[in-house]
Amino acid sequence: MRELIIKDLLLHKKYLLVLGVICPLYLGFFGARLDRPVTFAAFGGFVCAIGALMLFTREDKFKSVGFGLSLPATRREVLVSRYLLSWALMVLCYVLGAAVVLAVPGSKLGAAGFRPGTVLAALALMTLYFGGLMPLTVRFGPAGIIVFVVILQVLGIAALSFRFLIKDARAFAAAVKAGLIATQGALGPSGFSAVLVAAIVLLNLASFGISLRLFERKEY
Amino acid sequence: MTENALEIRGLSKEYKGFRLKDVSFTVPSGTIMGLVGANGAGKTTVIKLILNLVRRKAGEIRVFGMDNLAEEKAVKTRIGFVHETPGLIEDAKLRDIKAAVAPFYPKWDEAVFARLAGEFGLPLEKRFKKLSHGTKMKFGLALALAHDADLLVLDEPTSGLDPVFRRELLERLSDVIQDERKAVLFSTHITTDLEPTTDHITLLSRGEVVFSLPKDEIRETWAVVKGGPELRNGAGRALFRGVRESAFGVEALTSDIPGVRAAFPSGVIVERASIEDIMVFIDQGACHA
Repeated sequence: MRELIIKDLLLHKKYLLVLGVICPLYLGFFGARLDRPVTFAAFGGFVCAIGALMLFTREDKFKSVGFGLSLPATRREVLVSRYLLSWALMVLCYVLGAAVVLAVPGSKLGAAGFRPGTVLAALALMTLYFGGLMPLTVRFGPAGIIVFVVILQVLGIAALSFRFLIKDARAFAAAVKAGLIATQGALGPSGFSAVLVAAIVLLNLASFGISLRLFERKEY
Repeated sequence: MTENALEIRGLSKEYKGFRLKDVSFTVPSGTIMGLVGANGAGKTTVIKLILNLVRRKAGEIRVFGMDNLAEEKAVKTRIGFVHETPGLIEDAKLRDIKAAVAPFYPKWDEAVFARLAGEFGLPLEKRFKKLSHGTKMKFGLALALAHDADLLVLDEPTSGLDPVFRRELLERLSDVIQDERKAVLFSTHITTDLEPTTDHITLLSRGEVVFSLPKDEIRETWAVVKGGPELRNGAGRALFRGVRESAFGVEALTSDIPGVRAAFPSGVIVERASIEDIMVFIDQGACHA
């Protein structure tokens, strides 16, 4: 496992250096103009997830996956290392981005924008983006990101096409929100956080399981 | 008893428009096996199946007695793989690629790599994309040799190489098997590469093994028969694997020399067939015989 992570760090050194500079600056520039922590969590989570995923789409771009798979490692190990490295990158990008936001003079998001609850929400959103995107990029390579965007577009078109449902959807969203608040009230902040962490872990495991099935079937 | 470095039994694989059918052959330790066939015969597919880069439909592959799927990691530790067009992260420097690959192999020898890098003139500070095709191949070979692989698997290693390095590469393969525990499998469609180096040859045609034999046995078994129209029409026609007409008469390929001599006691010439003759006849024969 260690060898696989070192391999990716060495072979993608140039990309990682660029990502390590561009991503925090990008997050900081836009994050400093936002006033809602949840918006930053949603936007920052997406940028971090894309940044991490692009690392592995480079292997498709250079057609180097075959060489990687000829090294002594199983596909499961390769995928575990990808998930671990991606999460390390996402968290690092988010932390650096948050540091830049806090350092920008006149930033609307203060330290209050990065309370544990907000950070946990950012991690949950990263899980949704990354967990959804990773199986698609395993299956389709860089085109997986486009497939993800297309799926979102199709869902948007479907929502517009069935406007009569939106009212119900809003009611559903409101019910979910009320349910979350009620659950938080019942469990207390620490209990709710524990449930959210468990959900994040489970979603990542589910994403990993799907990715592994696709990866083991893929031919290079 | 000699251990087999590689055993392939009943290997099958299907793509749209191509089938690898029931491929079986073995590579004994201490030998070089040439996997030969026309473009599209299935050579690369066999190699990809050995490395588990594609999924097989049926069959079994054992490397030094280990199943290549059940013991994938241990198998790959003992294999050195060189691809026809080495695919690596193009913007990585050779030094970084070497540093990334080395930790995977317990028998990695830094001194051997440094020596090979010097002999091959590898510019370790250059990025992979800046290298010529030949230098990329040399780098791939240096990586494979530096971890003291017991089975070298090379996919079309000589295509696109200049004659000087081609000869050097073939000589190095011969050096590898001085250690009789090691073996080499290399695929090629350049039949002249086979003569000086290989001990065994497996010929693939349209996804099927035509033969897998020691080189000397091929020389003794296969022949080109030259004669007149009687070769095309005579009762001995069944002895031929392929027949073609030329301006000088009719030529046919056989793997039954005694049978031909008996069927055509006079008037035909029997000449030893080269691998190229066999390849051409078999591929044409499947259409015209």
